[in-house]
Amino acid sequence: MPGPTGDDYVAFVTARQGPLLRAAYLICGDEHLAHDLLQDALIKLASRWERLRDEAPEAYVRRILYRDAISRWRRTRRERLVDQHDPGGELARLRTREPVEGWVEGAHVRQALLLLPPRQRAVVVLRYYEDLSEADIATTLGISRGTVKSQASDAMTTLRGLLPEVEGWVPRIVRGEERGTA
Amino acid sequence: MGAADRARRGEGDRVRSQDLPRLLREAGDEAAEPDLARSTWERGRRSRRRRLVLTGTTGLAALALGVTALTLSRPDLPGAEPAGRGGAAVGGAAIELPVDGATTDPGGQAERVWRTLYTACLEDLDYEVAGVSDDGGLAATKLGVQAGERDRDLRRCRAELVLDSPVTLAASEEPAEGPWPATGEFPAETSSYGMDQSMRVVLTARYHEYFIANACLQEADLPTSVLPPAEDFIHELAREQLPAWHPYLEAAEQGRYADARAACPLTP
Repeated sequence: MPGPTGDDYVAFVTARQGPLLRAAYLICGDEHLAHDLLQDALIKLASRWERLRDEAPEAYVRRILYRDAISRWRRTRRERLVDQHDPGGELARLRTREPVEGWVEGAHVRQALLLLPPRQRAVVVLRYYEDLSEADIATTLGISRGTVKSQASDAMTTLRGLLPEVEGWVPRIVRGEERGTA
Repeated sequence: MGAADRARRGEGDRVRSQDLPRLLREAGDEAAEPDLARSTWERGRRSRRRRLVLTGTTGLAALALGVTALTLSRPDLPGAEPAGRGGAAVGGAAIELPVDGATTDPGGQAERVWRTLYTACLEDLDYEVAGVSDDGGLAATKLGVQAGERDRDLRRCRAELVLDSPVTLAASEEPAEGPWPATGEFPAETSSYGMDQSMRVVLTARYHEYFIANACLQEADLPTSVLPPAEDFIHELAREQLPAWHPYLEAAEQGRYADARAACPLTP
């Protein structure tokens, strides 16, 4: 049983909060929101720590985090759709900015991710940032492996269109998918 | 020649972006390192303690007496400590209700509002309500209550009181933003807790709902208390997941909860 101060919980969170926050940031594109999403997921974990500490606490947090992020996007999608119709918005900037050979900054990648539907975005982050297998992604998001594949494929098609100056990374992704499904 | 080949040939940082995992790491690295371990532990444990727990009677003797207990308390306590009108709780299997009162200020104003209003509502439904030790929870007992009736009664209180944090509502339940009341200036930006526009709209609507009920109670000459500034109310509700002020609070404290609810019902 954990002690009253939850030392094992604190050790777990201290070790994993950074990567989890960065994943949340990639999913939602807003650091404050990412912080809130992770905080909510960790509070749920803490309230069920006795049951989850010996199972897979990180998988639990990830499941809550990603599903909450997608649910949240669905609640606010109307506002975001209006934003995307803004001719001066992120999509326009991505497509008109001066290409620099082979150079893509983090902000551009985040912007491109935010233009993906939330589930595609989650699949990309889970696969290429968190390095999860298709099966684990399916479990995390509560979808089938076939859906994971199709969402990943659609996401890559979109990303190639949004970041065409990035040479060489598409073949690398194909190899990654092959490795992940082997 | 592909970009990967150029990278291997040492053309430097200009071709660093061939690798999507590395790009994503770079994109994510701009988020500051959080410090959530201790605070989430404390809030999670409070959340666990303060979940509403429905405890049904399991003892044959208690069944024979037709007594069923309804306990809203921490699940790890052995039983209720009679208080107030002195109802005695009976232990049993716990059923969690989907209410998560993760207050950061146990014993504070939000908890007092919760306790006062649930006590009033349950007493209005003929339960005897008792405090549970020093946990701040409540235990309610009622003679002859049938299985399922307890669930219905708790649902009824939840619906009447409209205490749950609205930021967890589904999209279909989001109330529309109404005209802002003259007594409260809605903050242009609520920077705390990372509130986004959608959260502000929902929390604003809750404040508006309470404001209307408060005005209704004044019109009906029922007890009311001073409405807090909107910004304070919204921040407190976002932080505590429970409101620190409620239009029925004063009426409940003066034994007129039923009058207030009947005259000025809230919309769940």
